[in-house]
Amino acid sequence: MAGGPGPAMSRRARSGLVATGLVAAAGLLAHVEPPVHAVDDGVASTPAWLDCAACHAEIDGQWRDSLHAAAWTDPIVQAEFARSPGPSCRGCHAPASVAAPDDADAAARGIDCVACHVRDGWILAAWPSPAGVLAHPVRAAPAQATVDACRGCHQFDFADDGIHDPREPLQDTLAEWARSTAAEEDRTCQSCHMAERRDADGVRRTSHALRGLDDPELLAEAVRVDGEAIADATGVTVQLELHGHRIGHAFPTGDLFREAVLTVRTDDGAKDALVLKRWLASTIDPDGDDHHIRQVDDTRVPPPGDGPLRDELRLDDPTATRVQWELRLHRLAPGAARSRGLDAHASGIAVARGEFPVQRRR
Amino acid sequence: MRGGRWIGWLDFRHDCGVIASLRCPLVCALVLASCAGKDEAPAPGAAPAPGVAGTSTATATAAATSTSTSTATGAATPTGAAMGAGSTVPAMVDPAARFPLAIATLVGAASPPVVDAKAAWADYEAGRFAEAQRGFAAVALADTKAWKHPFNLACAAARGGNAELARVGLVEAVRRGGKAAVDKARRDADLASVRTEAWFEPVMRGEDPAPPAAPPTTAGAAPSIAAPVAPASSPSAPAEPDELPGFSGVSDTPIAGASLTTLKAKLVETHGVPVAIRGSLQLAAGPDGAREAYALYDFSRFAECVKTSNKKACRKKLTGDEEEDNQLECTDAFLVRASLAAAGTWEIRATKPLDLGCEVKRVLNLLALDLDHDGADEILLDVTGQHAYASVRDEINERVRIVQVFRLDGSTQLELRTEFTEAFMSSDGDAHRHYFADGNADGHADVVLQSVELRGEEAFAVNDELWSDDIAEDSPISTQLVPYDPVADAWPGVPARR
Repeated sequence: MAGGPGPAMSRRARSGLVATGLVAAAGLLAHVEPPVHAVDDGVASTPAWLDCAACHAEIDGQWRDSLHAAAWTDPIVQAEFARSPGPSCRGCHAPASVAAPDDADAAARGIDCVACHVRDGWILAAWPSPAGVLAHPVRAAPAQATVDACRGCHQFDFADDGIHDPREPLQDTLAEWARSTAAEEDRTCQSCHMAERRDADGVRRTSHALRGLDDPELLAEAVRVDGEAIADATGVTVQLELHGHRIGHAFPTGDLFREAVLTVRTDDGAKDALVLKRWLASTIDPDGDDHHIRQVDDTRVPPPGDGPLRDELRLDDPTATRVQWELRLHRLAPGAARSRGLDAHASGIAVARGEFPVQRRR
Repeated sequence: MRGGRWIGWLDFRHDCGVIASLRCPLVCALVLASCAGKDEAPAPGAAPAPGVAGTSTATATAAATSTSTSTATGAATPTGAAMGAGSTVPAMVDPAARFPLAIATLVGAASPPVVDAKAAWADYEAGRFAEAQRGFAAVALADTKAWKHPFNLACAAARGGNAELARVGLVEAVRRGGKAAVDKARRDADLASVRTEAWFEPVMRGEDPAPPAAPPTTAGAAPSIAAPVAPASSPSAPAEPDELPGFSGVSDTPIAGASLTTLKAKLVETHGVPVAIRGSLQLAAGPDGAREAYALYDFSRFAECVKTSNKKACRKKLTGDEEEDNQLECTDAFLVRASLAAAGTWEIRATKPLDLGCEVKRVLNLLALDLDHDGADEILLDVTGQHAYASVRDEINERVRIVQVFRLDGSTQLELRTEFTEAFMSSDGDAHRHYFADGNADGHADVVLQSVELRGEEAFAVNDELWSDDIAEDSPISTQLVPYDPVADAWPGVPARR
C-alpha cells in the first residue's frame, strides 16, 4: 500500500484501493459514463484537479493549453451562456460546476481531469500503469480509449424544449464517425485528438492536448478541395468537390454555431462563397398539429467514405485567369458573433487555401 | 360630463394621496399595512396623514372631442352590460384584468372616474350605496394592489342589493388579499346578505365562479352588472357556464375529428405544403346546412420556398447576414374562413395573412360572441407571435399580439397590433394592455387601452396579457376608452399598432 490514497481521498476510494488489482485484471468496467449533465456525486469526495497536476505535470501542461481547459472560459461560450444561460451547458462545458453553479473556480476548470477520469470515487484509466496503481486507487476502464468516452458531449439530441425536434441530434459527431472510413479502420476519436506523443521522460503517452480546431496542421489535412474553374462569355463557373481527408467526421462538426466558408475570388474582386453547415428550419410535424425546428439541409463536407460535397459557384469575371479559394472555419458564424458583441472575424480560422487555373472551353 | 359619454386619457396615480384620502390616521408608510378593510377607517374628522394631501391626486382629462349621445342616467346604478365578468369572461383578460373589465361599467357610467375614497366613504356612510360603489370601484381600479378597495366595493354592493357586483368585488379582494380578505369576508356584517349565495364559498376558496345567467337582452337595454339581477340567487336559475350577462353565448367549439383532417388536407392542397392548424372555431350550421368555420394555420417559410425553388436558393433567400434576418426558422400564419358543406367538403371562403413576426406563439382566443352587443355575433381572434431572433435559445422574447374582430360576413371590425417584450427588462419599459368593457354604459362593449411605465431597478416580466405583476404602486397608469360606434359598427380611433 505504499503511496496510498492522498489526503483528499474518500473512504469509498480508500476501500476501493483494496480491490483495484482484481478490477484492473478483470477489466470489469467496460463502459464509461461521460459527463453529459453532471459528474456523479462521487466527484465531491475525489481528489481535486490540482492533486493530479502534482504528479502528472506533463499531462497537466498539455491540458492547460487545450480547448477542454477553456471549455468554459472561452469568450464564445461565455457570450452564448450569457445570452441563454441554460443549466445543461454546464454539464459539458463546466461539469465541476454543475453541483456548485456559484463556484466560479470550479467552472473555470472547464473539462478537467476529474470530468473524464473519476467516477464513483474511482480514478479511471484505460491502461493503469504499475506506478499509477501504487500511487492511488485506479480502476481499469478500457472504454476510456474508445469513442464512448466522448459520446456524452459529442453525440446527443436536442432537448425537448418545444422548439426543436427532440429526436434530432444537436451534436452528431459520433454518428458521422460511424459512417466514416475511420470507423471501418478502428480509428477512434483518440487516434487523432489524443495521438500518442513522446513526453519529456521519453515515454510515449496519449496526448492530453486534445488537439482539434486549434491545431492548424490537423485542420489543414481535414479537407481536400478539388475543383475546376471554367470561363464562358459572362463569367467563371467554379465546380467544387470537397472530400473529407484525414478526418473521422463531417467538416465542420460539433456545435450548430459552427460553419465553414469556402470563398472563391478572382484578381479583379469577383467573389462567391459556399457556406458549409447544417441548415435548420421550421418544419411542420407529420401530424400537422405543430411545428419544430429540424435539419433541412446539410452542406458540410461528409466524413471520408460518405461521399464528397459537390457544389458550384459563379464569378462575374469572364477575363479571370485564375480563381483563388480559401477555406475558413468559424467557431461562431459571423452574424451570430456580431449579435453577441464579438468580433465577427475573430472566430474565423484559416483552414486551407489554393487556386484553380481558369479553363476556357470553346 | 355626468351621464355623458367620455373618451380620453385618465391618469390614475396610486400614491399616498389616494390612501390618505381614506382618512387613515397613520403615516403613509403604515397605511398600506394597516388600512385594510373599510371598517378600519378612522372616525370622521381624523387628521390626514402627515406630509400628504388629504385629497385625491388622480387627474382625469376627458377628451373634448367626443360628443355626448347617451342619456344621462342620473340613477344610482347605470345600465349597461359588463362584458365578461366571471370565469367565462373572454380569456383575453387574466384574472387580474377581469376585475376592471367587470366594473368598468360602473366606473364609467356617470362620469370620468374620480379616485376619491373619502367621497366614497361619505357616500357609504350616508347610505348612498350606488355612489359608494362607483367611488370604491374607481379607487380599486386605481390602486391595483390593496384588497380593501374591492372589499369595500363588495360591501357597498351587498348593502345596495347588488349581489353580482358584491361577488365581483369579493373575487378581486380574495385574489389580492388572500386569507386576510377571506377572514374578513366571513365575519363582516355588511356581507351578511351575500354569504348565503351559492358562489360565496367558492369565492372564499379563491375560485371565480361563473356569474348567473342573465335573461336575453337586446342592444341598448342590457341589464347592468351594477343592477340587481333577479335570478342571481334563485336556485331555479343556475348559472350557465357559457352564458355571460349581455351575451347570447360564447362559442369556442373547435373543428373536430374528420372535419379538421379534411380542412387540413384542403389547406395542404391549396398551398402545396404541409400545414399546422393552431386553432379553430366551428360555427353552428346555417339555413343551408353549411357550417362556417375559422382556423388559424401556418406553414414553414422554407417549405414554401422550396416548392418553387431549390434549397440553395432558398437558403440564400431566407438567411440574412445577421441572426435577426434569419427567416429559415419562421412560419407564415393565416386565418382562413371556410365553409363545411353537408357533404363534408370544405370551401375556402377567404384567407387573411397574419403578421405575427416569425411564428405563432399562442392562440389565446378564437371565439364567436356578440362582443359589441349589436345582436349579431362577431369572431374574435387573439393571438401572440414571436420574432425570428427570439425564437431559439433566447430569453429575450420580442413578441407581438394581434387582436382582430370580424363580423359574420367576414369584414374586419377591429385590428389591434401590440409589440411587447415578454422578457425581463433591466430597468424601464412600458406595458400596454387592452380589454373590452362597457365604459360608457350604452350597452355596447368599448375598447379600453391601458399603458403603464415600468420603472425602477427591478426587472419586470410582461406576460401574454401584456401586463405585469411588477407594476409599482406609484406607476402612473393611463387609461383610454374608445367607445363603440353603433353607426359605424366599429371602434373608430383604436390605434392599429401599439
